Amino acid sequence: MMFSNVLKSEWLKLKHSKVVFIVLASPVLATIIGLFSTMHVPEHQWLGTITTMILAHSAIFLPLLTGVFAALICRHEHSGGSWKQVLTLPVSRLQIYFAKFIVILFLLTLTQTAFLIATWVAGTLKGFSDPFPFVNVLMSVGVGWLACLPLIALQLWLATMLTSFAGPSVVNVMLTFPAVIIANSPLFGPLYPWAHPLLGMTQALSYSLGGDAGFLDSAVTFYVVMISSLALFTVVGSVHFQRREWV
Amino acid sequence: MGNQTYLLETNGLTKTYKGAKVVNGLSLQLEEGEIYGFLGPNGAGKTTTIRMLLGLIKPAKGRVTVFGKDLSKERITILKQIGSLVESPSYYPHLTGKDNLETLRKILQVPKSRIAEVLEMVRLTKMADRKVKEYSLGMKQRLGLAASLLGSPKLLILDEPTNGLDPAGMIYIRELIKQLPVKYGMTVLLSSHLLSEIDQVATKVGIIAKGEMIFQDQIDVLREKASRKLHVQMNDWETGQKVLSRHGIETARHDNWLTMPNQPDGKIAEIVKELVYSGLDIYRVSEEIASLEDIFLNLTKGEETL
Repeated sequence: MMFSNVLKSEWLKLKHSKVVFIVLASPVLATIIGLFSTMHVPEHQWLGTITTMILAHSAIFLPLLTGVFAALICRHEHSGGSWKQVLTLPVSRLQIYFAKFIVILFLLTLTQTAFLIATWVAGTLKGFSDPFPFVNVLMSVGVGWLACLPLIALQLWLATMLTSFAGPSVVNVMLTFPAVIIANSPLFGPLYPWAHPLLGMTQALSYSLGGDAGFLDSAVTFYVVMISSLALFTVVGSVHFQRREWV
Repeated sequence: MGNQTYLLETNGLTKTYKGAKVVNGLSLQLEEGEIYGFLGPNGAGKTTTIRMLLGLIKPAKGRVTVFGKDLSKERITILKQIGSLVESPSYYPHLTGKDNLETLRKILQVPKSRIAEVLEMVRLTKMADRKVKEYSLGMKQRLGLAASLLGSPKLLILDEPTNGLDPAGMIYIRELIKQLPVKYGMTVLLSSHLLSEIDQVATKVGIIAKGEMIFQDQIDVLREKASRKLHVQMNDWETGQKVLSRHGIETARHDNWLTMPNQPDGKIAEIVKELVYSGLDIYRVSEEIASLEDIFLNLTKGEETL
């Protein structure tokens, strides 16, 4: 059975689920925050507004969103008792698991793209005349996307393991709020997956502008933790999904 | 062994939860074209067995062989030809009935026209474009049945398929299930806790109690167990008993009733004549037929007292 068929099936399940509101929620809120931002960087007209928007988007909304997407993608299998139907289809359990993973990645891509557009909209509405720093925001958005992967792997594992919509979301919210504080520690920040979107997006923006936002002692630690936690959560989550008993 | 090929066969299937054997050494055989009624009281291990047959849970011991293949090794190949409905129906409430089936069709890769066909089979055509959250329990159950039929499976496994249906729906679904082997060459295994359900559709019956198979044979064999008895009431049972034993009929007594195995018409006439000639007053002659329900109760009750 083709993996693409499993993907199409997962995609269809999102119909009428109002997921578009969730995808756009953070970019829209960030735009509003950006419009009222008074942060001003002398040599760069756009930088203050974009930084404010990145902070709002990446510190709280982005980590929360990974949990919401993961819970949403498993919600109806739990509530409608559909796991037993999905898992008696002639496809491997791993295909089901990774189809869900990829749909979440796609939703995240939509959110990040919407955020990119949101920064341009906010600046344009404020009447900025300098050219829009597209490449810099794109870098930030791209690294932010990567920084969400470990969280998504973890959240998908929780969402398939705990049989409720609320469970994983509550866990995620509780672990997201300390992220802002932990991100300020150059030592613990890179070790805490919930701080990764903030670290990734701010650092990437400043590096691309030739600066350093100063959140990280070592970019290497950040990437090593990111890749190894992604690998760990993916393996543990998918193996658990494959082996568990569907009672 | 091994010369008889079953469509589905389990050997010594066992499942343990917290040290208790929920299913214990279950051996179940299902031949092609049969409608196998899997019967047992609630909590006897029917759903656990069915989940093992579908690979949703792994047996602690024993093997499941379907289409001659080992389920633990070729699960996906086997599942291609199985349709199933386990316990409560599965559905996506925010999608229409048609889209619910479409999520499965994309994976099963059957023609789109098959969706309309199965919806028609379960009489849901009119509701096809309504969201499933508007469906009644019976409609959801019928949608689940449509989903199980979608891939035109060789084997259909239905766990309590008439749950939640109204009487008319029950009759309709029962008739539909009966036709599946004849019209589409399907083999069906359906579970129920009601003997009457099984009695009306099944060709073979397996009865499970406390995780063990206590009876498995053609339904006719079960019906034969429905032994008939003859009761005769008279004024003097002692004389009656002597007279009858001279004719080789052993009887049991209850008050002034004598009970014996049922006899052919001619023999009954003879018995009555003999009793009357011996000067006895015959008050009543009656026949007792034990229902299948009684047999089922006796079989499962016996299990409980063990």
